[in-house]
Amino acid sequence: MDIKSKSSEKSKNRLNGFMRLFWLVIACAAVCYAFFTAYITYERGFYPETLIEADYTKSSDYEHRTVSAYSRSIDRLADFIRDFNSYCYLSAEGSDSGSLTHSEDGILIHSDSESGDIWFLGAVGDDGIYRRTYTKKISEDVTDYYFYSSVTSYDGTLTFVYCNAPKSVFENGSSIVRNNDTFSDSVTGNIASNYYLAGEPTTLVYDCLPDSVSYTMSKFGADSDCYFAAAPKTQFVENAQAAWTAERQRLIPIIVTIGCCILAALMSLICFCVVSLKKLPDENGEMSVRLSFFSRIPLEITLALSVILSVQLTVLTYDMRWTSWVNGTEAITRLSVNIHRAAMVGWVFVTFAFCFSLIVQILSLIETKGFVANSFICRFTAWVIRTVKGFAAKIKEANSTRKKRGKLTPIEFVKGIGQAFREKIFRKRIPIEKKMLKMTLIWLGAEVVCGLICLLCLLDSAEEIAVVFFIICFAFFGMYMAFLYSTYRDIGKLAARIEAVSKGEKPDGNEIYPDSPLYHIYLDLENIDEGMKKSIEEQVKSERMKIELVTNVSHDLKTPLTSIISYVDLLSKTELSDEAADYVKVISAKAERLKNIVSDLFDIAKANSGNSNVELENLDLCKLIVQTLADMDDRVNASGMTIKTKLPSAPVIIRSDGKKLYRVFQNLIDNALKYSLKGTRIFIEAEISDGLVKTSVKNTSAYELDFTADEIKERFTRGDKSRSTEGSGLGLSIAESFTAVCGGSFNVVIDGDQFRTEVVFPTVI
Amino acid sequence: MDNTNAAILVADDDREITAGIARLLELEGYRVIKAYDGLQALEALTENKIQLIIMDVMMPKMDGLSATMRIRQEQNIPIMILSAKTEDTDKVLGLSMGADDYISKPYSPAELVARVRSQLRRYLRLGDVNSSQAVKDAVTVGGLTLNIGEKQLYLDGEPVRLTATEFKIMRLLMENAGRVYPAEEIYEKVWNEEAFAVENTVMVHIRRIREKIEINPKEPKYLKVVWGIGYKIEKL
Repeated sequence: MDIKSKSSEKSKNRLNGFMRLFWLVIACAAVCYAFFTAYITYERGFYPETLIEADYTKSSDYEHRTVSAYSRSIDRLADFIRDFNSYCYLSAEGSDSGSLTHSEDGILIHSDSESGDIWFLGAVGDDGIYRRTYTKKISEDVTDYYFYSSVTSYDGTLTFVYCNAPKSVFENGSSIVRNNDTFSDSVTGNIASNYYLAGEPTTLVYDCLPDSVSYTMSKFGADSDCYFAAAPKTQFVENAQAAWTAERQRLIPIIVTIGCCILAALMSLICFCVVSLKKLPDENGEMSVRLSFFSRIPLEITLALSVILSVQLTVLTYDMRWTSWVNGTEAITRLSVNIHRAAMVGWVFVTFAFCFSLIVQILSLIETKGFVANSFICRFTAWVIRTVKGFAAKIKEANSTRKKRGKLTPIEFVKGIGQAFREKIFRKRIPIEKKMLKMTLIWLGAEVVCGLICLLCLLDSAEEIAVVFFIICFAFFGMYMAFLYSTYRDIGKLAARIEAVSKGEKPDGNEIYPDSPLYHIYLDLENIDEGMKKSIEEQVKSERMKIELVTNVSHDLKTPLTSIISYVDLLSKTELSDEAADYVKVISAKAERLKNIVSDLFDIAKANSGNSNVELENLDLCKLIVQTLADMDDRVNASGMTIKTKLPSAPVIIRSDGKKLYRVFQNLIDNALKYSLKGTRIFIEAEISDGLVKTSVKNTSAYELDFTADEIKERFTRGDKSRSTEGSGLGLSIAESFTAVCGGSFNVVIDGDQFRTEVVFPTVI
Repeated sequence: MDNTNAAILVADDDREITAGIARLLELEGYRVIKAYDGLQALEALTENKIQLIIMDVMMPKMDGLSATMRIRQEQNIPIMILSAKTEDTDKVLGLSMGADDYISKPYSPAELVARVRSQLRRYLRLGDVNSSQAVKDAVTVGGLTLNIGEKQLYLDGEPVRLTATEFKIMRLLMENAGRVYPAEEIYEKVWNEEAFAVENTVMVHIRRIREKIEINPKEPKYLKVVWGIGYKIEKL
C-alpha cells in the first residue's frame, strides 16, 4: 500500500515536471513566433529590399537621371547622400572633380568642376524625406531658360521646382557656381534678377500640369525667387491609398497573429506558474512546493543571466536589422540572412525561457520562503554572521574560563582570542602533520608579510614604521614559538596519559583542550580507555551470568531430585511386596548416586567458573593427608587395600584451602581404592624440592590402562569404559579443578599398570 | 515424647516437595500445615499455633529469607531452611537471618526427620530448661550440654552415652569451643602421654563421638575437622 502510494507520488512528480517543461516550451515558442513575425514584417515592410533605384538615360539634347531613395530617417538619408556623392562623382563621365552641395533648404546640387555642368538632384522636404527627383542638366544646349525639377512625396504632394533664367545668366552663373559657393548664395541671387524675363512661372506650371490639377505656389526660400508649385497628384493619392490598404490588409493578420501569440504566451506563462507552484507530497508525505533544478540555482546567478541575455537580445536585434539593411544593398545571400534569423529566434527562445523560469523561481521562493536558503548573498551573509558569531562565542567562552581562573587582564584576553582562533583551526579531524603545517604557514605568512613591510619601509627610509613592523614580526615569531612549546607540552601530557592507560591506572590530570592540535588524539585515547573499561565490565557481567546459570541449573536439577528422593523414601515405608521393595531399594540407591553426581557437577562447574569461595590459610599438608586417611579409615579397611605413606617428619606448610584440598585427596584415595588390583598396595608420598612439595598417590590398576593421562582427566571419563563401577567419573576432574583453584598443579602419570597422580604445591617458608 | 502432635508449617513453592515432606512428617505423627509462598506462610502462622517451620528460600511473592526475618521479629519458633542453595555463604546468610537449621536439597528424608525432631525437642523441652536456672558446672554449645559434675553429655536434653576418653575429648573441646586443637595436643591433654603418630587414634574417637552427637556425621554440625590443622567444636 505504502509502496504503491509512493510510486504514484513519484509518477505524479514526474508528470508535474513534464507539465512544467511543456508550458515553458509553449510560452517560449509563442513568444518566439510573435517576435519572428514582427521582425520579418518590420524588415520587409519598412525596409524594401531594393532601396536605391538609379536610372540614367541620355538623349541628344539632355541627360536624364533618376535616383530614388526611400528612407524614414534623416540619418539614413545623410548616409545615403554620402554614398550618392561618390556615385555621382564616378558617373560623371571622366570628370574627376566636383562636389555635392546640400543646401539649407534641402536642395541638392551637383556641380561638375570640369564640364561646368550643374546637376539638380532633388530636394529634401521639411519632413526630411528625400524623394524621387528629376534632374536636368543645365547646359548651353538647353535653350529654355529654365530648369525644373519635380519632387514627389509620399504625403501626396507633387512639388515642382522651377528656376527660370536666361541662358546668359546661367552662363555667368556657371562660373559662380563653379566657385563652389552654396546654392542659395550664388544661384538664387543670380537667378532672381532674371526671373521675370522668362515669364511667369505659373504659365510654366500650366504647361506641365493638366487643367484639372489645382496647385499652389510658394517661394522656395524667404528671399529666393525660386518657387514651389505643389499640387495633389490624384494618381499618387490613389496609389498611396491602394498601397496603404494593401499594407493594412497585410498587416492586420500579422498583428492579430502577434497578438494571439502574445496572449498564448501569457496564458502559457500563467499555466507554467500554476503548475510550478502546485503543492506536491514529498517523501514524508507533506505537501510542499517543489523547487525545480533551475529554482535551486542561486537567484543572483539566474537574475544576472537573464539580464545579460535580454541585453544581448536587444543588441542583437539592432545589429541584425542594421546588418541586413546594409548588406541587403550589397546583395548578401538569402541563406546567410536566414541563418541570422534562426540564431535570432534561438536567442529569443533562450532569453524568454530564462525570464519565465526566473519569474517562477521568484514566485516559488516567495511561496516556500526559501530566499535565504537560495540566495547566494543571503547564504553568504548568514555564513559570515554564523562564523563571526561562533568565533565570538568561542572567544567569550575562552575568556570566561580564564576569568574564573583569575582576573581577566588584557594579555589574558588576547590569549583567549588566540585560543578561540586555534580551536577554530584545529576543529576538524585532520592528520596532525597537516594541522601543524597549517599553523606554521599562518604564522610564517604573517611573519613574511611583516618582514616585507619592514623592508619596504626601510627602503622608503621610514625607519619608525620599519621598527614597529620589525617588533610585530618578532612578536609573531615569539607567538609561534609559544605555540610550538604548548604543542610539545601537550605531547608530553599525552605520553603521560598513554603511560597511565597502559599501566591500567586512571589517567588523572593532563587534560588536553580543544585548542591543541593533539585534541583529537587525546579524544581517541579517552575512547580507548572507555572501551577498555566497558569490555572489562562486559566480561565481569558475562562471568556473573555464567555463575548464575550454574546456580540456576543446579537448582533446577536438585528440585526434582528432592521430590524423587522423598517419595522413594515414602514408598519404602509403605508395605510392599518383596519384589517391589527391591526395586525401591534400587531406585533409592540410584537417586542417591544421582544426588552425588549433581553435587559433584555443581562443584566442578563452580570451580571452573572461577567463582568458588577459596579460603586460603597456612596448613600442614602432612597432617591433612593423615587426617584424610583417618577420616577414610573405615573405607580403607573395607576395601582390603593397604596404604603406605611416606611423609616428611617435619610439618610441610602450604597455603591452600583445607576443605578443598581434603576433597582432592579424598577423591584421589577413593579412586585408588576403587580401581586398584586386589591385594596391591597404595603408596602416598610427599617430597620437598626447590620450595615445592609434590604429593603422589600411586596404585596398581586392576584394569588395563588403555587411555592417556589427558583423557582420564577429562570429565566423565572413567577407568573402566563399561562404567559399571560406582562413581560419577568426575573424581579426577574435581581433583584437578580444586587443586588449580587452591593454587597448586595436578598431574597424572601412567606407567604400565602403575597409575600415579601428583599434586604439587609451593611450600611456605 | 509429647512433641509428636506438634504442628509443623511446611512452606515450599514446589507442591510435590511440600506434599512429600508433609507425608513424611505425618508418618512420624506430626500435624502439618502447608504453604506455597512466603505470604501464605505468614498467614498460616497467624491462623494456627505452630511449633516448627520448614521454609524454602526461593519462593514467589516473598522469599524464605524475608519470611524468616519477619517471623523472627515476633516469634521464637524454630525455623529450618530447606534450600537448593548449598553454598557456605547461603548457609551463613540463612542462619544469620534467624534460621535455626539449614538443610540443603536434595535432603535425606531420615536426616530431615531427625533434625525436625531435634529442633522440636530443644524448643519444647529445653525452652523450659533455658528459662530456669542454668545448671552449675555445665557447658552448653548449641543443643549440647556437658554436665561436668554428672560427667554426662546431653544432646537437646537427651543424655548421650560417652566413654571416659570421649568425655574428656568433649570436655576439652567444648570448654574451649571455637579453638582448634591439633591431634597431638588432644592426645597429650587427654591421654597424658607424649604424642607420636596419634592422628588415627584421635580420629577414631572423634568419629565415634560424631556418630553419637551428629545427625549426619558426614556433615557435622558440632565436632568439625579443620583440615591440615586439627579439630574443634563449633562455637554456636
